[in-house]
Amino acid sequence: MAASNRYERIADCLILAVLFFTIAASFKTTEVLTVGDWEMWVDWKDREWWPLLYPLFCITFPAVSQALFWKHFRLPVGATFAVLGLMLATWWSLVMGHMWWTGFPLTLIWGATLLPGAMILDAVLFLTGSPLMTAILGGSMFSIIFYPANWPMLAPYRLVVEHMGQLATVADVIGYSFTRTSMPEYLRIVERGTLRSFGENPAIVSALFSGFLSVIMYGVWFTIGMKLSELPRVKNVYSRYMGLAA
Amino acid sequence: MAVTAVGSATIDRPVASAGEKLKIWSPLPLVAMVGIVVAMCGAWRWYQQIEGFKSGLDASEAAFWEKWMPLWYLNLAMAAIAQTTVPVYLWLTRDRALAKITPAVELRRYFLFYTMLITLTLTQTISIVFGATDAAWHQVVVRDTSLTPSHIVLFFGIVPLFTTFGLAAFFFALTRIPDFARSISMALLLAVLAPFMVLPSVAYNEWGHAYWLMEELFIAPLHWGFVMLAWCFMATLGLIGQTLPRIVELVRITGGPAPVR
Repeated sequence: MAASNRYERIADCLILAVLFFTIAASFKTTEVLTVGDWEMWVDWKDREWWPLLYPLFCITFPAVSQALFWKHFRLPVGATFAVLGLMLATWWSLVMGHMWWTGFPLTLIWGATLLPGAMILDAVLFLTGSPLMTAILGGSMFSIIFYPANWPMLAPYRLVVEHMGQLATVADVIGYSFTRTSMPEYLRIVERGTLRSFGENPAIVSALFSGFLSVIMYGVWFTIGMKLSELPRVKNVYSRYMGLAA
Repeated sequence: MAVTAVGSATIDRPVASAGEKLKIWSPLPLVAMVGIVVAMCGAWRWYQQIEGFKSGLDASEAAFWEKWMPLWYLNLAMAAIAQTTVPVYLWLTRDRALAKITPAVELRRYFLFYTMLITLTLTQTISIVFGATDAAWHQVVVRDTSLTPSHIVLFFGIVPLFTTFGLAAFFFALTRIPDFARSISMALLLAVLAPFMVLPSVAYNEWGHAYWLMEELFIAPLHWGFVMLAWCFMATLGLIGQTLPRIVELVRITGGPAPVR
């Protein structure tokens, strides 16, 4: 292999590794501290807040990643790349922490997938080549597709059961069996009466509303991604100590 | 002989004479640094697994002081030593003739710089994995003090580990790569200094938990200081955009013309 080819490959691998771990770290930190409770617990995966907030906050880093890959490499793979980083950190922490250390069962803690939405986002950018169209079509689809994409995993936990004379779901009963310190908040936020009374409607309404907001969210974060490499440089007054003119 | 210029003074100027070639890339530093990180984090995690629930539930018990406080002191001492010696070493051994380095040496330093960034960002990823593990711990154990088996490892072990790699990357670039010596990149400065924001975030978090939020709702606004910290990690992405043109240029100069594809 020619030397230039070899160095190109080495540079590619180093840059990709830095990109991957940077996005994984910042994406997972943002996700876990803004919408992480919906990610961690099956009984938090409700019909109102989960389809609204989870994809809305998780379109942020796919947008940044798409901007970077598109601006510097003309590659429409950024969203999928970012979601793979998030999934690595998510499953690593769920298995290592929640399962191995504190003993929660996998049925309680499985994480949702964002991959279908991310692939649509990348596909729209690939087909249109336009960030604006990607924001409008891809951004909205990213959030709208989230709930149906996760439904095959979630459906068994939505089966109705009777628990101590009350109507509940399988997810609820698993949650009641593993009491956690966040339970008061869970009861306040998720277990609201109005949520249950609308049947299946809230999920559709939430997904569509999230899709609308995601267009804006995508635009903001794509712009941040485009501007990142334009951060300024400041003259180093100590450069003369390194043999350079001050 | 081809002398490596990393950490050398003026007299060690690397010269690739005929028949001798400077080794531009070696995977050894990457393997060594990642190996250190994996070994240290693995050891911490192993200790958590065997001692967490056995002696780490109550900070007022003698067993906690016997098993966990020594680890806390050790982590603090290691953090202080590493974060002082690494920047001082890199500054004292700086290249004093940066204007004269060859493209091959510069490319080699860029590769080493990226090796440090990989280790830094990998450690940041591990830190959030341990952070989410901290969430699992708090779901089953109500906090009594700020020193828990989870916090002692996360905030006093892994976070100082990645800030040390960040400082190393910053001082390495400042003292050995011409572009960074001429002008300080705000992206690099932000990427390296922002992780220190973890200190006020931890302080605010512990203060809040101590007085008005005992249950561990992970999405609570009390934790959003850490989110700002994570957004600052993104500055590393800007750094890639800034260094890319120069790396491409150096690859072309050093490796000769690229074959037609």
